[in-house]
Amino acid sequence: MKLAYQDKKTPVHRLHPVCKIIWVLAVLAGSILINDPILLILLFISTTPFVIIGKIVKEWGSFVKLALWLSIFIAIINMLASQHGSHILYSSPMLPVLGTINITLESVIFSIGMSIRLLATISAFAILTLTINPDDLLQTILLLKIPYRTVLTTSIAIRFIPCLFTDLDTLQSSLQTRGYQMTEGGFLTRIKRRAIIIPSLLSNSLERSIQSAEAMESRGFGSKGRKTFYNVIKTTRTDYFFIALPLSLFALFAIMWILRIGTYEYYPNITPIVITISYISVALFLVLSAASPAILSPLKKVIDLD
Amino acid sequence: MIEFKDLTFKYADSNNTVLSDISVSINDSEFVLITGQSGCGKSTLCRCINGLVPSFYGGEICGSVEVQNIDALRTPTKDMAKTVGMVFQDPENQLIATDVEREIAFGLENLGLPKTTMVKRIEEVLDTVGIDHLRHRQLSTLSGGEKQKTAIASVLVLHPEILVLDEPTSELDPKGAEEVIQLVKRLNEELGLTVILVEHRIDRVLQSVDRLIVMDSGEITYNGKPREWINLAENKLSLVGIPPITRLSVELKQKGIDTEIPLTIKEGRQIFSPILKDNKWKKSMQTHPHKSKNITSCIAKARKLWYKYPDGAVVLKDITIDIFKGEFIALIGRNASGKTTLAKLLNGLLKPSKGKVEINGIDTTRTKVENLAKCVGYVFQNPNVHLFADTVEEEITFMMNNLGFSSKMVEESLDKELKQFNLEYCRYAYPRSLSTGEKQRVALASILAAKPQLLILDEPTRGLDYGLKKNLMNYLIEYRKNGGTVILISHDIELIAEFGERVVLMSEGKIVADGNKHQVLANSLHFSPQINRLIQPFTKYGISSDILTVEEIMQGFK
Repeated sequence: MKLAYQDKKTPVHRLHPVCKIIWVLAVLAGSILINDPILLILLFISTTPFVIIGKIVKEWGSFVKLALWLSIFIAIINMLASQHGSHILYSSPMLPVLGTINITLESVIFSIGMSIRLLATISAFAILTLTINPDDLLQTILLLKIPYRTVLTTSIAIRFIPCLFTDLDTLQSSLQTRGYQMTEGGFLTRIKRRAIIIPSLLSNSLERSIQSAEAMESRGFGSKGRKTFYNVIKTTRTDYFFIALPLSLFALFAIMWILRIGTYEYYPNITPIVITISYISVALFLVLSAASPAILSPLKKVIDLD
Repeated sequence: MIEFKDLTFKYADSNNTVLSDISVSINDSEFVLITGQSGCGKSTLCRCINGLVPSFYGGEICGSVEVQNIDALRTPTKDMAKTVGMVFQDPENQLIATDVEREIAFGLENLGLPKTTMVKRIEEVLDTVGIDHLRHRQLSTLSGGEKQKTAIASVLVLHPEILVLDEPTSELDPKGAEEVIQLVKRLNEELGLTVILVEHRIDRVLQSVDRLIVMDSGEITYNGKPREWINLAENKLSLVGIPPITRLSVELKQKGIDTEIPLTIKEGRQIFSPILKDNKWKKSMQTHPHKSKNITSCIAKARKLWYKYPDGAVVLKDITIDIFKGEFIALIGRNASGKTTLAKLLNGLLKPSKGKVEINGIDTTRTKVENLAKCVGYVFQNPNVHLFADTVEEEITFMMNNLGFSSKMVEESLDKELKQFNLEYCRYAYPRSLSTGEKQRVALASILAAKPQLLILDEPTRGLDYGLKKNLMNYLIEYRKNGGTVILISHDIELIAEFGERVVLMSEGKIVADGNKHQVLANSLHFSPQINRLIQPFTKYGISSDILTVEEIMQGFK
């Protein structure tokens, strides 16, 4: 299974790159500005139509699985580190240096909220990575007047990520076939034993980047004079409509932030969530505007043809 | 025209002179093959043509290189792109974009050409290279040969006058390599492009080139017609490796039979016809009875083995095989036929989806690959993936330490392997700084030091010159003398014909032939070696149809 862009020719893949980039930024903004765990869950759920219509369920699942492990790790650290909250669920005996560690209901709920926030963000970035052609991404970023060299270097670095995973896998296999134990011992021991791979991994990457640089120079990269582009992204009227959808999501988050909707107090006591009509309306609008580019994407082809 | 004059070069931070007093000129529209042992300076010489040396690498240089009246040593590589197109060894790392069309456009974009010109040139080059059907394909979905053709198209589109290819086939399977070589020949013949090709497998191209340049330790040791070189250098040929059919002529000459030098099977059949029809000598030539296997104990076996990758692709289908102690098995087949997957199942790296694999009676699903390392050693294609330690000595002892060998055993084994693999002089060197051949020896020594009973090698000869290949095979012969069993995955049919015993042919996840090498390789359209193809019309004169090597033919002259 490839965890990189593949042109599956779905309506989501055909969406304008600017639309997808704004959508990801909007989800990122939302997950930063919103505290309310229910709205965060809804934000995460709203990303799933992209996954289904874009036919990237398996690939997206791998990203989310990784995010899930990461969020569990962060949640545990947070629960242990945060001593706020009034409902103590567990109190540890006196520990040297650390003293007593309290795990509170509030810190548990806060950790869950943070995990969902992370899941929503990673889900959106996974969708972008899996459905946007890196060359289109490069073209789009260039519109923001970021220097071409910087953008191209970043794009190539991203393209090398799957190669890095393949290298990692081969190096691990090589160590295993030489009787090197990597899966035994405690968490720290395992990490320490795996660290042996890092120099070889870096060395392989360095060799690869030298070869790439050689090939680029040999094909005139860095020549003086104005650079031209073979593929220029065209924007139709329908594309403007689709770009407006995630912009409306941005507007919603801005209004919510100004009116303090979606803010939620975890400490010192968790505030009860009151489900009112305005709360339901905001939630509904959030879901619709976050999911609408994906849900409406099959219509894009029809409208474009017309 | 390309003209090297008194060119001497040394890389920065190195005391070794890579190119030493090179003076040679290459005419327009010539097809030149450069060959020589690994590390002889071939690639560096090529990189001087488009200025990568010295402008990209730095270093000390003297002399001059003039390419179409441009001073290549003082012109930045990016400015040489319109004159010299360069294609590199690894098809993966020289591609920048995500699909074929955009990849080809990359160079044109860098030169700032208008869109209309780009469209026209891309159309032309897609047709010329014959990859029009791939234009919208993503690069990650292409085969190695297709990627290399894309790389060629992406430099041709800049309309260079010279095409330089640095071992373009060393990472490809035989089919991909053949396609690339045919394309290069066509570009030289039809477009009149000057082609400079660096290649180890000279049997693939020798008949097509106008000129051969042989290098050794940074110097040009031969510069002229290929046939003349074979006449002149017959005693040194074993260092470079020539087509078996050509070697036959050299061997016959040593027996007092003078013939012309053939470079192709067609020429060979004409030249050797009187000899191969002659009854005087061939009666003493041995036939190869297909003996039943001596039953020794089985070291590994697979029963009704199926393997499915997580993405659902079924790569092995109902494989049953026994590997007996002391055997030398060559695993052959096209790319994606399941060879590597089977090898990884036979050392426990992969676990069967269905069926069973046993190594020394141990079911691989019930143990970890780390625990099987004592029985099975696995050598990966790229020696770099074996190198983790800071010194050669540590690298060789690494596996023994992992497996809990006593310090006395480690010391004894280390000394033995250092001596056997001629690594004593670099005992304390950093393994990654060594040459390809040295790295390969370190990788092999590090595995063999732990004395595995079964050794699996996954295409270890890809990209190696003939001398290094021969050394590797000699190490394997030595290993087998001590009771070892070898499974070698390879596309190199000539090598298998020379050194193999049992050959297993795989196709689409199944074993389609399994037997003695004479049984499997003889009379095959795709998998028979040159000598076997040569003798087929002469079998009616009594020559055994399963002869595979020059040595087997030469037995008739003893």
